[in-house]
Amino acid sequence: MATKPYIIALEEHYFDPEVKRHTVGQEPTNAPRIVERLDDVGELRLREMDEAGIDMQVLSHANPGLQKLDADTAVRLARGANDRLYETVRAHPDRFAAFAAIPTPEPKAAADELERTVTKLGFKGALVNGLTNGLFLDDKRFWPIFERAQALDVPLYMHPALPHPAVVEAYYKDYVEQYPSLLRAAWGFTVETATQGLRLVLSGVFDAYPRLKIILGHMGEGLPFYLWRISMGLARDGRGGKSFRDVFCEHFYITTSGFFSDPALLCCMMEMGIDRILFSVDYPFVDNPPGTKWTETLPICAEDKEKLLNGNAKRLLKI
Amino acid sequence: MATRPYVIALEEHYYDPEVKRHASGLDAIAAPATVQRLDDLGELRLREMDEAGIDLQVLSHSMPGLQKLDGETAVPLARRANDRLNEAVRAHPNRFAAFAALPTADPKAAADELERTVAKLGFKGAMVNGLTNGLFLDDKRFWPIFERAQALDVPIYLHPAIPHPDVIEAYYKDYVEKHPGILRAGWGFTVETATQGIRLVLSGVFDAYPRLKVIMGHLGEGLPFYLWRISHGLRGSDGGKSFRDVFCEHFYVTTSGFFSDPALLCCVMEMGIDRILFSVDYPFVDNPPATKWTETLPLCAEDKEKLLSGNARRLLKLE
Repeated sequence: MATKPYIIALEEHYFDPEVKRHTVGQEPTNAPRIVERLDDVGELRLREMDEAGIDMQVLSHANPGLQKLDADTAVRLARGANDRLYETVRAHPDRFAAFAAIPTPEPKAAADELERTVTKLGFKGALVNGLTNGLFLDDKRFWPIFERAQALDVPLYMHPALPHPAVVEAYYKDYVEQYPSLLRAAWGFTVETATQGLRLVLSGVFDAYPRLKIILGHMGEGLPFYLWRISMGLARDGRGGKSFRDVFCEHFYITTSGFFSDPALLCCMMEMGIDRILFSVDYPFVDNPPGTKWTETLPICAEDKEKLLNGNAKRLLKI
Repeated sequence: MATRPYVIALEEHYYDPEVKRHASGLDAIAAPATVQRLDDLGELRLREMDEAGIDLQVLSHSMPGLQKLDGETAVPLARRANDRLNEAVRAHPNRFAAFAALPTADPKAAADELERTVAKLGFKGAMVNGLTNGLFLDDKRFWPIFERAQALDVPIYLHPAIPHPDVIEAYYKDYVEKHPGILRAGWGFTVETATQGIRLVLSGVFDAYPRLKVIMGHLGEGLPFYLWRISHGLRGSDGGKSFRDVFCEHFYVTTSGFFSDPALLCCVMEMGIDRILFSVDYPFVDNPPATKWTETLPLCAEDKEKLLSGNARRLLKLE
């Protein structure tokens, strides 16, 4: 038997008690066993990491985070929440790292909070949950956040949230009652977050900030599969310049959160290369053991598996 | 050198002179080279098939077809258009076959027209382009069409159209002017048609019509990639069969406008080669890149033959 590999998981969620109070009703209520695990950043979480062989979690605030609050509330809450998250990491510095929650409703303050958490607290970047009060993050008013992320050389993780209400109405509402997950992991999350990735490329933000790094979970929300077709579909517009594929593969990293599929992983490896694919679970929405068990049987060589499980994360997050 | 394989392509579009007059705004095709080819069911089309080594095209009306017309207009128009299409097939019976255009606004009449075209004209099924006046086809009022398709043992091909206006407003409008492809092959087509596929599974239509067959183009609009995640997301609310099971039992996918090895191999791993059929998406996509792509596919000769002709012969009962 080989020794157990060192495993870093980087889309792993928790709830800050104060943020949680201010976001009641913004998302459907989670099952009690999920709530219990979101609230825990100590014994239970560490035990479940140990049981599955996960050495380090990069913690991030669960959906919806600060994205659906008014600017004043978001700015006020961000500082306290990130300071508390810092205390959690300090209590177990060899088990936890952190992505900041940033008050995107006030982009300048969000950029400042990103800088504070990275330079003062050692955070590894930030995670943003879905639209900010209906706006995609490629809107120019948010670009100060990308500018600062580049300056600090940290990635921004684009995480889903409940989809735009107009899209829910047009595409999903007939099935929401019987299949609530249609809005979430089963489909609605995927569509909106993939759309966010696509829009970022079209926005030109990567021309403005050529060293900007973006992480998408859930196997890049499927975008790697579509690289050929999207690149062809957009090339027809005759805008010239870099192809969608080139920009995507230069600036995006993806994780395996909640998506433990060999065919999907192999497709992503063929399209992006193993260096841009990072292990994640999506705890506690997904259990740890199926995530790590899946990696044991992956048809990839030891060197690539090590990149997936920790090497890429160490390099990208400077751990 | 092996002899050239027999090649059937089944998402190949044309314009009926009367139906096309109803397409306006975003639905109108602007590029003159494309319109010229949509209008042609003779010399030019056959020459371009010959040049690329395509033996048989299954013809279907280009989007939006009859889906945005009221029943009163669509029902008699369908009959005339399908009769004209039959004449085109009769003129070159060894080069063309046909999918019917259906007046879905009047579901009972659409079912009758499907039966007439299959039983009387030898059509191979029908193609439906996007939403019918804003409604997805899983709405129960359309089920008579699925019932008839099962009774006739012919597939229904779900093709995209310009997305729902409310979704354009929420997701795409900022980029439509500069990147019109975002509504079409670049992204919007994919999202809406994949959503249609998921909704069909959730609707229970395959419980009601257990021998119903559905074709999706563009490598299944990406759904094969997502089978693990969608099935995982819906687990517990799926009442027995998983999303994966239903999808792989009832859906066929084609390669239209999507000549990607990684995406194809992902589909082969998830669905098996027997459910994947070659298509080009002529004239929106040129024939030669499609047939050239198949020459270098990492598939054995037997599987390649299934992709290029065998699966289509079986599914469409071609001699």
